[in-house]
Amino acid sequence: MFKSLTARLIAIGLLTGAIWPVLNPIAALVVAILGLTLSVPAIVRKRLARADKDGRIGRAEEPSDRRRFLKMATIAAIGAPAVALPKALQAIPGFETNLAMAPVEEDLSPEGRIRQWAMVVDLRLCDGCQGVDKPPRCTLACIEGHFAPEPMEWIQVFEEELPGEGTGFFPVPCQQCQNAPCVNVCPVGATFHESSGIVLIDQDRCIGCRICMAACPYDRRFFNWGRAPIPPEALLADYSPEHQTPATVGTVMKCDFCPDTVRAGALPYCIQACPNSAIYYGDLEEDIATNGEVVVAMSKLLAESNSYRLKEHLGTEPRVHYIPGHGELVGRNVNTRGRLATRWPWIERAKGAVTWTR
Amino acid sequence: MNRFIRSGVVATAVMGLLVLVARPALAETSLMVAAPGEALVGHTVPVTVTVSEDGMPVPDAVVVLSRKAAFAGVRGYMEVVRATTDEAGQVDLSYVQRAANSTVELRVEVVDGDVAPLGFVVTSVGEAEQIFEPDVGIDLPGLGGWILIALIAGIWLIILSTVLRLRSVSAQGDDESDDGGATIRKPRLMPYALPGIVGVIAVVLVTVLVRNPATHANLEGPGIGDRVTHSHLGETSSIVSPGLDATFSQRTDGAIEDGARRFFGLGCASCHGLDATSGVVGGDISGEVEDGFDEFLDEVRSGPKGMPAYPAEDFTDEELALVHAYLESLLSG
Amino acid sequence: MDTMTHWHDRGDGSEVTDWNERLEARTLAPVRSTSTGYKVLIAVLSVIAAWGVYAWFFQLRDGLYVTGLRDRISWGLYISTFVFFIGISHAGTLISAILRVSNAGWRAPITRIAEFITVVALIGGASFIIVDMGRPERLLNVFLFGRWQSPIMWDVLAITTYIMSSVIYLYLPMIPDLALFRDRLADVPGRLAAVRHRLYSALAVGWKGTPGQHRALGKSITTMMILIIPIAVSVHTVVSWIFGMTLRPGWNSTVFGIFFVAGAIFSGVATLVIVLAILRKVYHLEEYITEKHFVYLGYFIGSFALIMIYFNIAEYLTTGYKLEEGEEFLFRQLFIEDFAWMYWFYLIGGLLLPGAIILYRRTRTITGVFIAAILVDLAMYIERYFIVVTGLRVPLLPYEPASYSPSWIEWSILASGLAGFALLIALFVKVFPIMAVWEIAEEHEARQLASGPNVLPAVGP
Repeated sequence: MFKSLTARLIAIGLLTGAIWPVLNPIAALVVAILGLTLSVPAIVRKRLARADKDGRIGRAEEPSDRRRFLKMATIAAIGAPAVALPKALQAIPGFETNLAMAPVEEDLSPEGRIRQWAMVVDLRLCDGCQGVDKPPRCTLACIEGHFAPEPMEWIQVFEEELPGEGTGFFPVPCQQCQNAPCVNVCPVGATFHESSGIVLIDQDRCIGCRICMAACPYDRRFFNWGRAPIPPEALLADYSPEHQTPATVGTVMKCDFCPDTVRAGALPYCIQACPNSAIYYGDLEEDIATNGEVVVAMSKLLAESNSYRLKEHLGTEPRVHYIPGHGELVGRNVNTRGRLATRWPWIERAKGAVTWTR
Repeated sequence: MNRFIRSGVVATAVMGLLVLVARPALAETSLMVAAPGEALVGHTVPVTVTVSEDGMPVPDAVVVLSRKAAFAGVRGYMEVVRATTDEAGQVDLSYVQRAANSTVELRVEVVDGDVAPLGFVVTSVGEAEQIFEPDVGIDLPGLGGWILIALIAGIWLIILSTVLRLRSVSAQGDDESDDGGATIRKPRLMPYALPGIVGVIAVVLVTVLVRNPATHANLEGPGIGDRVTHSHLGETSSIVSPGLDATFSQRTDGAIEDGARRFFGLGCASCHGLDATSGVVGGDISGEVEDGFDEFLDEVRSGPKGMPAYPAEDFTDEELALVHAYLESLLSG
Repeated sequence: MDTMTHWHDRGDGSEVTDWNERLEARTLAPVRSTSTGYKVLIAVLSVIAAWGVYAWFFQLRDGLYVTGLRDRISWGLYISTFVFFIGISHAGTLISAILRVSNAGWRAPITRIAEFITVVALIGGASFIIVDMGRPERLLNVFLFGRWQSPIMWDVLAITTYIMSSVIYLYLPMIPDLALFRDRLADVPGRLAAVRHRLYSALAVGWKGTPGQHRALGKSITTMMILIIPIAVSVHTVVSWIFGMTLRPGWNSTVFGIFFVAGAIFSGVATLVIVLAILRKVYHLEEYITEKHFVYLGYFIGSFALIMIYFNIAEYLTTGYKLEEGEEFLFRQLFIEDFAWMYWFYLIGGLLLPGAIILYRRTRTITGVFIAAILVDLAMYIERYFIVVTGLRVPLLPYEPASYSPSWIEWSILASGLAGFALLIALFVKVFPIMAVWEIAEEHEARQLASGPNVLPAVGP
């Protein structure tokens, strides 16, 4: 039916592309290989024959083994690697598991329900640690606990102008968005959703392209521009995406909701350190949350406290909620501005480390 | 007269006592709860509470339903729902059975009421299925990565077909003989090399596209999955802190240095600071160190406020001895 | 005799006119002889390119810390240059493919140079992406673990496809000219010449100019010319989507795709004018690349300047009318404060002024178009730069906006990239046919046939 090589190849390509999701990728590949091996040599043969007829020099004696060699060579060139293709593809690690074309459902392990971490920050209790006259304790605990390199404040306390007069403090960790822009744009899947819903980074896979930093609307991703200013002890650590120590040059890091501590039943460092117990950490699956002192039902807390999320209109669906306030429950005067600057507590840094301003 | 007064006083006293003791019985507010004994996880459980006083229904009483809960070492009763009784003294509450443990202890109480809270138990039964699932994005039927794969494959097949024509061009160039006799066929590289390169690149690109999961959020791709574990309800796992390294013992000879590596490696430094005195979360532990190893061991095993209780499976006695030795030298020197 | 197919083959008695001989001689001249000036140029460009490699070594050793990039403004000179180079690569597609599709004969003398520019620009663009990576040794991860949902993956796919297509689209129409070189330069002495001759023989794949070969080649070229247009459009669209797929004020725009494609064609044509003017002067190609060509290219520049002005209005008027959160800061820094000089130079010097130069007949000369092209290229580079940096500079939370100034390493690598671009073109010109001889001859024949056999070939518009 299709006379020309181009038409045939297009047809094969489209057929393969159509069969792939419907039947089976292997079936589609087989169709492609069959189509190529059946059609290409035939057309090449026809071309040569036509060239013969147009040619000005007659082909009196024509070595037919040359023609046969051409045909064999074409079949071999296309057929052999194509036949070996499915096997070769399957030999690539992870191929079988990733071949599904349909959206893969969350891999719920058979052991049961998986916790879905979320955080609620009660701004009525946050005063930027003015009350204890220290740099924000949540930031400091996070830095210590994770040995976060020097200029990085994975949870950072910002001060915003209130309408009217005065300022209010609000700590901003990674928002662990359910529709995370950083996960969407990562070209190698180094940033990924763990099944608890938190977003982790694999520094062994990150290529340092920084599109995730451009995509994050909350400024919560930090790049290791140079050898990280961390204590020398941190270099002994065994890296894992769950506790990001030690940091690797040329990769990205951020708040990870402390998966190593919470899985063992403790609370993240920032929640433990807050002197006013202003941050709640909880599980949306069991609908429970605690700030270290009381345990509450998460949904009730969110519903009845006028809670909101940052930049909700962007559609990122963060897992960090805020209860509006300005430290009034700890007696803060909104006109007391400023908080103390964060310090990084190590005395010495790893060899060759540099620090930078954000 | 004295006898009368005495008996009168006694009678009054006895009556008063009786009144005091019997008053709750006289003005008796009672709570009645009707709830199923079992419920499927994820299903709504109806709980009907009746508040009555002396057998008469109490309207407009605020009833609170709480559940006994423990999370991250904090225990207590957490309020689940509250409502007000109607004229019949009844209120229908409901909640979703989603606790981690199979025995859910609940409690109803009346706010500002003279009645003691009434506890009851609802057991979870059935296969537990995930209740909360992130529901983001829309799934347009028919759209998926396969469109991109088909597009790339199609384009590269067309490119391949154009370069394959080089073979015909090359073959026609052989028709002229150079010596006016036998046709000389010159084997040429380009007509095979170029299609070969195009083919290889096409296969690579299509393979790359086919290999990765067609998900909205790239869950645990190859190589990552085994380094990140799930957090399940009802399950406890040991803490994994920066530095946990199984090859500790091979690294050094000195007990102090071994202890130092463990102080960092077992995660102690994360909370207690590298100098064991300045940790924001863990504070100053020099006191516990000075008290001697047995006290120290007790503290670690029982877990003081905010600190998990570490059993021997997590940190052995020998390891903790090394840590203690290091801390002693650190804090004394 | 059929002069169209055998004009270059003098052996069989076909008519060879002076015109044909001159064309051949001009095309072969760059390859036949090398002037001292050329050698000096190569030396200078090589030094600059090598200096950039030296600077890159520091970056490889110490990490991206050596640049002026930081967390808040994490993309800067490298990404701007990458986008700029990819933009320039649209020159070839427009001139070669679109004009071929529309059968515009005047494109014949300039297609080859346009296609050179495309390939070299794509190589330059791809190398700047690698320079910008934090862990360049992990480039293979993109192929091992690539996610098709990522705009960077779309970049990889589109740019790979475009490079392959451009190389093929450069190579296929060059085959007859390579055959010419193979035949004419067979007797040049020297080892380098012998190697070159082997190269030409290998690449020419036995081209004899037979009608069968013409037919086969013609079909391939036709397929590629149609295919390469959507590929080129898709390339710069997906490049713009590494910005357009984010949620930042200034980047969160739906018109980025087509805006960048228009800008790409704009800067591509300008680069073509610059390179053409230089090569024309150096290699005395005035007979073939005439004022008419510059005027026509100038029309392109002028019309695309108008298109770009329209896009600027469309983008900034619609956002400025509403001034959502963050847009006000963007406008202030772009139009009034820090980046104002860049924007107004771009608008006035890069869009309005070149447009005016082209509009006025008095200035629509080769020199005029050349100056307009230089202004355009400068302005387009600045536009890429301020789009990247101002987009990243808008504070997302209440903090002081950061500032960015490139370090000496970034400037060195930029200079090296530009020098490398010029160097590669200079080297191409030394090895490959600078003009598409057979296409020019074909077009010349067509014009002769149209205007009558007794009319001398026209020179100029």
